[in-house]
Amino acid sequence: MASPSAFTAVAIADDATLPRDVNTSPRDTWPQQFFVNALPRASRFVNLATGPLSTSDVLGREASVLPVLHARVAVVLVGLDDVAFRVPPAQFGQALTDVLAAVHKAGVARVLVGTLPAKAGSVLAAGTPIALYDDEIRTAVRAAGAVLVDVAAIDVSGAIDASEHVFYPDSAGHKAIADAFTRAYQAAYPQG
Amino acid sequence: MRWRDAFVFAARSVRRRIGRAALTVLAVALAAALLSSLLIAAGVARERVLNDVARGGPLTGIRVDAAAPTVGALDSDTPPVGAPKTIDSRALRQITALAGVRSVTPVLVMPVLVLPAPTAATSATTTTTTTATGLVPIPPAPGTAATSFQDSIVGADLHHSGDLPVSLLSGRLPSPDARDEVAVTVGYLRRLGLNDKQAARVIGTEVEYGSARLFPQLGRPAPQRGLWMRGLVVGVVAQEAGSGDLLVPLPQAQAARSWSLAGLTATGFGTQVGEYSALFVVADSLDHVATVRQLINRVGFSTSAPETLIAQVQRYVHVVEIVLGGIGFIALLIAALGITNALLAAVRERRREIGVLKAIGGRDRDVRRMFLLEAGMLGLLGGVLGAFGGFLIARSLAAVVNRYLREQNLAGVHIGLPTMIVFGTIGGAAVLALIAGTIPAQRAARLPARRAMGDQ
Repeated sequence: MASPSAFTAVAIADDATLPRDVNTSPRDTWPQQFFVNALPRASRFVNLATGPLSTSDVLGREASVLPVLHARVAVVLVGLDDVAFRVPPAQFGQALTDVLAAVHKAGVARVLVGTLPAKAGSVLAAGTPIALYDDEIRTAVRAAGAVLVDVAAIDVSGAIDASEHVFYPDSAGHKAIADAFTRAYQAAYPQG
Repeated sequence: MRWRDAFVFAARSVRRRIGRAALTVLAVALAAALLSSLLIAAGVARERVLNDVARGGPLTGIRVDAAAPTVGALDSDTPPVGAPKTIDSRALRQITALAGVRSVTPVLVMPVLVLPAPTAATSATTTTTTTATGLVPIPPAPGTAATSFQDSIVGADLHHSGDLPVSLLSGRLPSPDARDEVAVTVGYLRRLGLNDKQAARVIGTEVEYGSARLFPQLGRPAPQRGLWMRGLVVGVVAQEAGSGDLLVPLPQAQAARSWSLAGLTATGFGTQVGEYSALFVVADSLDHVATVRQLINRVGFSTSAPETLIAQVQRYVHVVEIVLGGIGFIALLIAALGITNALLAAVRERRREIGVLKAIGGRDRDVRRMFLLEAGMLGLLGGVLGAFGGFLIARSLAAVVNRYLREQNLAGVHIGLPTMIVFGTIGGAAVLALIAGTIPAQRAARLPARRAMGDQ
């Protein structure tokens, strides 16, 4: 049996979490920074992020491989593509609930879920505040007993990709998200 | 005359002619110091040269590669023919059970993407002690440092690190069961724009490395995702165990292999399918290396070993040892002649004393014993001083040599107290002194009492 400090962590997210191109180091992404800053050195980490895909697709793809990874920690940041695809907030909320249920079923003990960067909402039509998506996230997190990471409350720099209409954090944005997840993890699990 | 009385007489004689005795002892001591320091230096050089020839591994080490033609088997002089055969646990057990095999250590090499700790020059924060990711940065180095590169981790059973061709240049080896420690090679330093002399800079920094796995579940075409591990760099090594710049405990490489194989498709992606990349076999003696290699070849694997070269080098080094020992022995012989000379002078000076001793009943053998004891005392004292003096000389020379080796970023030499050489030198000096004292003692013993007294 693995020692308490020797476990695997996974990131479940959309492609905004991946390096944007071959010139971007994996180290510049927020999950990798979270792995280095928050988790014990003996832990292992897998970034399952892919996309573009809506949260309902995350269930079929990323969440489906969780059972074989025997992960203990999962960091989740989904919804940016849902915003771009204009998935209704309620539908997004249900998909997230299903994803978190699958994560729980896979035996992941520590789950952290982030709200969406505020700037991601600029692609939405007038009258559809991104806060509706965040409300759905908060509800799903509460129901799943996960830890909420209030990414919406911090300044995440980045830009909207003109062709995909998706918000991509820049290096500073990734660092801000990583710091938010790290702070939340350390507050929730001070023993590491 | 009892032994104790003879010893008292001999000691009194030495005390009476303290200047001459001191010079005689000094001559013996210098010769003994020369002999012991030469032998110690020859022994260290022998160990070092053979270690270099064996590339840090045991002298009786044999590398076993998969039977199929591999890059690792390029130097093999007995490449087997037949169907490809990978190295697995069964092969490990088979080879372990062969006659003449002392130990078998498996090695597994896995390709990884490496993210070294950023240098302070390339990190975002040069004025603070940590980077954006919280890593301790490597101090700035001239040249362009790589921020990520493709390389391999060389996983080895470090419980048996002495059986592997691995030499420690700086720091220490990872703990055998550690999940978070690595040692790096000089090649890693080069990637970061550092040179051999800057090895200490990377110790205490952290490196991330990820092995790839295909995930058909995540999309079409199947994307690759990495299993990322982190390691504290604890040492810098020179290693020939496998092609890669990171030396890690075997379980880390096995985790990387399991990860990669789990996503393996028909295309394979060149992933190491065999359980191990190579085995390092140690034969129980140099004479058995050839036989053990033949047995391993019969099992169906290719082998390579420098045993012929090692045997040749051993012969050459032994010749050097004989020459150096000879030089030291000649010096000791000259010192022994000094003892003979000093004792002959003593016999001449002490004829009256010898005469009186014989007149009051002393026998020839008493006189002989007295002079032999004096010679033995001089030899023993000189031998003790010389043996330890030689050890100190060798240590001083080693300090100078180590300074040079450090400048060349090579592992230094260590000189422990060589008990065999120390006691051999002391015993040798005493025996040689006794032999040297034989003629004067004999001459003194045969001196007639009347003539001895009459000559005064």
